[in-house]
Amino acid sequence: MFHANPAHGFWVRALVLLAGMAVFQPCLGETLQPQDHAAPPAQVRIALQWIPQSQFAGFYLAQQQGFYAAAGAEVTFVHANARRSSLEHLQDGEAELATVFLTDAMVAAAGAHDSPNAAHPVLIGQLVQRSNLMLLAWKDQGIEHLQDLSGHRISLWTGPFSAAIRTLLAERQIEYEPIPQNATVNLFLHGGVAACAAMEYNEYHRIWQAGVDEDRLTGFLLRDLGFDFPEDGLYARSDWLQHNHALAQRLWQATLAGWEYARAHPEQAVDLVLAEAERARVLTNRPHERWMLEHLLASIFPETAGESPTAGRLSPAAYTATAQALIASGLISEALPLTRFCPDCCAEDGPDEPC
Amino acid sequence: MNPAERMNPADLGIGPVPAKARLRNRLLVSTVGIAGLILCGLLLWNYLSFREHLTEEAQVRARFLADGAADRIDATLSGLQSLVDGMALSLSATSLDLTLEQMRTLQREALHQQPGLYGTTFAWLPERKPPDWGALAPFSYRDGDRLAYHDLAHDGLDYLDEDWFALPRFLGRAVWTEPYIHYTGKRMVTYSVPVWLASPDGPLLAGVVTSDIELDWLDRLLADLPLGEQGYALLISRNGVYISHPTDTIAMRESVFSLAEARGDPGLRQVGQSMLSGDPGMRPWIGWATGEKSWLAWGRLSTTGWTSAVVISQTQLDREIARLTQLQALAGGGGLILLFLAVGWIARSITRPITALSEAAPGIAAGNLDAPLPAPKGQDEIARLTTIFHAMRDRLKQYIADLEETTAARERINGELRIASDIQMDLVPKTFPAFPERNDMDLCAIIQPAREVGGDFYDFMLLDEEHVFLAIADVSGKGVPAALFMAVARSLLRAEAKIDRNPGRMLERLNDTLAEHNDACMFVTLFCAVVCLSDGTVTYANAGHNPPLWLRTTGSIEWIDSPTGIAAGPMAGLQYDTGHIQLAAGDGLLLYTDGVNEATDPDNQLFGNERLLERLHASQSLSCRETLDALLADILAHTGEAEQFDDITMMMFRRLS
Amino acid sequence: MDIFCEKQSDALIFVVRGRLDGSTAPALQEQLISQLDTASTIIIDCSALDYMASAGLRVLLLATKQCKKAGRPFGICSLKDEVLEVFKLSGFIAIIETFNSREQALAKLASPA
Repeated sequence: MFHANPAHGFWVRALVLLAGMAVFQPCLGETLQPQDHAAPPAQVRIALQWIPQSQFAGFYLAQQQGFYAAAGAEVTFVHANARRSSLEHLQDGEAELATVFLTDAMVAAAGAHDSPNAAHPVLIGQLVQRSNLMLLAWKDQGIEHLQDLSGHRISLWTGPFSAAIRTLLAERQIEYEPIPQNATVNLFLHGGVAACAAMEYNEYHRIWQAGVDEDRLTGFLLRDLGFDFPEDGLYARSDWLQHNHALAQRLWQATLAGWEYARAHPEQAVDLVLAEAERARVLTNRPHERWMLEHLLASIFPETAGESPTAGRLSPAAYTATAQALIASGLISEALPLTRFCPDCCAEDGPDEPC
Repeated sequence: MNPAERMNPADLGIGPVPAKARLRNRLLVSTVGIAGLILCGLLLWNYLSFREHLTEEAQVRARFLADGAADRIDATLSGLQSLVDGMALSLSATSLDLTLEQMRTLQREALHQQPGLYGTTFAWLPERKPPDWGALAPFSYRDGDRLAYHDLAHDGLDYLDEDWFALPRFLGRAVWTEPYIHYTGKRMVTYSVPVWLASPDGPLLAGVVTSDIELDWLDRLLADLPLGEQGYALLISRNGVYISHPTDTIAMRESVFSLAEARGDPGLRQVGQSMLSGDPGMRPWIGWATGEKSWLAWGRLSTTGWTSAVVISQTQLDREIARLTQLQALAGGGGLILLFLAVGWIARSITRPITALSEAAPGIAAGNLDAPLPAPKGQDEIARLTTIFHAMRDRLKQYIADLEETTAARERINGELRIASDIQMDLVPKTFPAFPERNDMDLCAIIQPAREVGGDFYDFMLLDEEHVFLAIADVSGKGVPAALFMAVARSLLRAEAKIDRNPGRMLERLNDTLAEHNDACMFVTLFCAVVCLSDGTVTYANAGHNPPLWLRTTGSIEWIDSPTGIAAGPMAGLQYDTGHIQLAAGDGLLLYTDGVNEATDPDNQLFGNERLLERLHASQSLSCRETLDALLADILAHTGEAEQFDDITMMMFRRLS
Repeated sequence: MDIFCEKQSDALIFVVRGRLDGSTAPALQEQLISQLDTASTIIIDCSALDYMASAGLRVLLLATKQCKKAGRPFGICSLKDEVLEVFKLSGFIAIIETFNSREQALAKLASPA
């Protein structure tokens, strides 16, 4: 029964992945470092964007299931928080790898546009292929359409995180009073703002878990409004990557294997996330983490995958679109060319235009 | 009655009383049965009304406890709330014109005053901070027993993003934050009040005063509520998150809605929404831990906007009621057994004499009057019945004794009467042929006495060689008086016949004599005749008697019915004519009493004259004896089994040549 | 035997039914003798009398004698043939006044002629 269902055929998948690693490594132009038992495993810190939650289930699983160890690294996680982002950890050398929002990374990388030797975040693999960002608004404050937001308070995360929303609102020429949004949705729940930024997999569900039914809210999903920007990706600093390209690739494949595992064993994944959260004194509950995992998996492994496997790959078109939005919102003046932002994105598929 | 006549009671059709019909058992079954039914009804009623009552009470109690819990928590929190409100007010009133040191003194004072306070902060909106203040967010708090101090802005301005600052800042009012877990591991909640400074453009936010309050005492407070074994209390935040819950893993992590989601229970989600609506309420509930039917009641805290709720087990209540009912049933059952015993005892004491009576009575019914009867005890109806039974038995005994005595007396009288009858029979000549030496006449007579002594007689005698005297009589009535009267009449008649041979005069004298001293009006019908054997002349007289028959040799039979007179005895001075007939040789006379022609068969049909004449016609060639025998045989054949009340008396005379 | 008493214009009428013989005569005697003084005229209605034995005759004779002594009219009426025959035979028809019907008896006895 277990083996008969390909969806659960984790081991098959894992073996294929490992084989793929073995086959692809030489093609990447690096000398394959077979598991050198004599050499000590590399110490790698991965900064995760936020406190422990299902957004990182694949990472926890990759570690728990020994995929990282198999990749020759001893991985530790650094959790970012409101005070210190994962990007900062990466930039400050407190982590070798980090998960970062595409927009955040692009804004950070844009600084290196004019200085070819400056260290900047380099995308190793794109995890979340679609946008989960949304605006949530109170119907009882009269918000049915985007235009209704005019003149209202909207709480938004500071920084590039909310760039898509800002761009959208600017495009629609909606005048609003921005309120800095913190880690909670309580200001929104108190009715202190007419709308707030939300991740579909997190804040939206938190609000629902505070007893607010969908029919009381108007939701604007950015991906439905022409702002379907990819989100989480795994980054390294360009200077570190120069010397650890193979390791980075192995760790990326191990991470993907972790997510494949989570896809095959969602409950086990949630169990692990809850344990991580408990250890970090993060207050959460199983239904929420399950909800988050489901949405993350749907974002990492899009249903539209079709013939060309997009999992793990940043589409150059999405990159271009995101860059345009960032420029339009004034966050950057020019985006780093994709060849520098993500050399491997072009290496494999080649003929895409931005490369 | 002699013992041989006594019967076995069973032969009377009186069997023993079947167990089902026995008085005692019926009394027991009916009394205990009815009492049992009443008891069951009472128990049921009790159970139902009890349940209704207790259920109502449980609801009231649940509501009361939920509100009470809310009030008690409010009482504690509102003290702290007013302290912070007061601080904010006074800071605002003094336009925050104080130094950092003064602020810290104020905070220490507050912590001293309020043991429930963990810490307190005043956090500036950075741009409002006076330049002489060395800290943006001075925070005084307890560190064990001592007070500690820390500038929350020491590591940056991150506090601006905390709910405790952001919420009052952007809401413009005091706020109770969602409870959180402090780094010390304790649950805490923060109450934050914005402090305003007057400005020409209106009040400006200067900063926020906060107080941090530990919440672990909430568990104790809720645990102390009297909720019964299966009851529990809980507290949920504005967002529906459990602040206090008997299950540790639920508190602070799960909300009503997350549980509803985990259970796939949209109903629970609705309950959660009602609980957060701000209105107190109540609804039936299934306890999660126990799966028992319960009541959930909730009330809202006026300070924090949280909801306190209690769950009171209905199942446990039901169990208690069932237990109570069981106890009652047990007590009732015991009572029933006592009643059973008591009724049994009473019934026994009542029915024992009845049973004894009913066991003794068949003996009496069967004739054993000496069978022992129970002695009457007490003065109740049964004692009365027993007494009456005794009296009845005694009377019966007395009656039987009397009856025996009477019977004996009657037997004696009967015996005497028989003797009288014998004497009577002895009076009439019964030896036939009466005159064997004479061949000029044939004479025979028969008297067939009835059971009771009657008054018939016949008589005959030779007055001389040529004359024979014949008489037949019937005295009125029966018994001894008739017998005596008959004896007297016969003696007198004999005497008269010897004095004067004229039958008429004979009867006149007889009548006169009998009429003397005859107050009873007894009388005798009598026919007498004197026959001259030589020439066949017959003189006769009749005192109201059946006319005799003259059986002539020619074959004709005639009634000798004239002259006739009145029966003798009732009154003196009667006249009797004497008649004459001439008997040819071979002619006969038949004298008889009405016992002959009036002999009745079982259908009350008389023997009658027809049959009499028929027989006589048929017997012309027979002797007197043969004729009478044949006649008697005819009569007896006619009567059959029918008892005859009259003597049958006949005398036949025939003159021979 | 049954005896009924009726009062009809000063006359006490005894209606005797059934057989008047040795066993029943004492009852009639008792009734008759005890009530002879209660009325001016005594009549015995024999319309329902089936049989009369000598004992019955004796009671009637007794009653006749007593009434005669007291100067009170006494009679019997409505005798059936068989009973009348007994009366005739014993000759008492000459001593005891008999009538064909009750009316005749009442007319003769009750009205002081």
